[in-house]
Amino acid sequence: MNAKFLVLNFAILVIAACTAEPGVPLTVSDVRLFAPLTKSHAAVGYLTLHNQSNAPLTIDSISSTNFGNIQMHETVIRDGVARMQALPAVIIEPGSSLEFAAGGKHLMLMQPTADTAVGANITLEIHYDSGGLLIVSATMQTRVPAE
Amino acid sequence: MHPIRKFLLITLAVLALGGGAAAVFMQLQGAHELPSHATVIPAPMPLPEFALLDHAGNQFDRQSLRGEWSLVFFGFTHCPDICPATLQQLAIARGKVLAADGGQGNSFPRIVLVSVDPERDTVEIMREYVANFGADITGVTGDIDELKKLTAALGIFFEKSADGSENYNVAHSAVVLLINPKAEFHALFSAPHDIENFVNDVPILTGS
Repeated sequence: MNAKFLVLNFAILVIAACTAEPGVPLTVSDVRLFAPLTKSHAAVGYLTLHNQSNAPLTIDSISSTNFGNIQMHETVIRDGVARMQALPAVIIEPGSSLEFAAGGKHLMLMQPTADTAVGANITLEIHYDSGGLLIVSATMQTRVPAE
Repeated sequence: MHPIRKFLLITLAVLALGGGAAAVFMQLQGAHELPSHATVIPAPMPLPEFALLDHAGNQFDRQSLRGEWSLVFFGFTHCPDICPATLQQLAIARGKVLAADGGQGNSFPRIVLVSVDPERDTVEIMREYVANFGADITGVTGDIDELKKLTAALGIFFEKSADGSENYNVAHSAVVLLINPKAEFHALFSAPHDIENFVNDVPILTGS
């Protein structure tokens, strides 16, 4: 019974989050996923996270059925030198947005387990606040527009 | 002549002269437009001798940079964010400048990616990688000691992370260098980069 209740609650939460119903603390916009540039490289993802609640919201991790490993990273430029550092979690302040964008925070999508070529539909599972889950989908894009 | 009429005539003459001088000054300024973002090296610095390989496996040295303008970025192909983002910005800037030029061509420098990770970036990987960013881009890799001759002379920093994994990262200078057709370090663009900075400044710097 408890398990059924949890599954039902989980399903409602996922649907609610995706459709940005009132009361859902996390919404996502501007998801862009770029295919690996060579066979051996990682794909990269950018998106903007919005905390709709009145309390800080923690993004614990991001996973996908298309990738075995997704990490949140940040490129930091200090004294003209670019360094990449892993982000174990990120916190979004109440009512604020957090942008993952080129040259800053980004997702590294590694160990592909399914089709991740340009045009593939990718599902991201965003885990937040120790139990919350938001599922978003995006199409894998090519990094450079045709000239 | 009435003093007031004389005063008005003098004032008009002064205004006319001033306006003419301002127009001439503005025209001269336009002819010598300054870049808005790039830093120009006061005395362009000749590149040192070095011997690396381009993505076709041919020798790439100082001589290879003679005869045309080049925008040079130091990065590596496993870099997921700033390297492809910078190359993408340069490729888009090139498209914009060439389109503004009426498709005449040859008015934007060649783009050069020099790998700071020659251990993993073989000629074959460089060839596959740079093909993502259009035709007029050259990938360069090779012996690390030869690479250091170039980076040391240009003040380019790079450092492999010490995590020991095969997915190691390389910290590196994020600057884009403009090399003139005499193979001299002519100007630089500091990070963070913006497409419009390249679109605006490159034609001014190269005189195209």
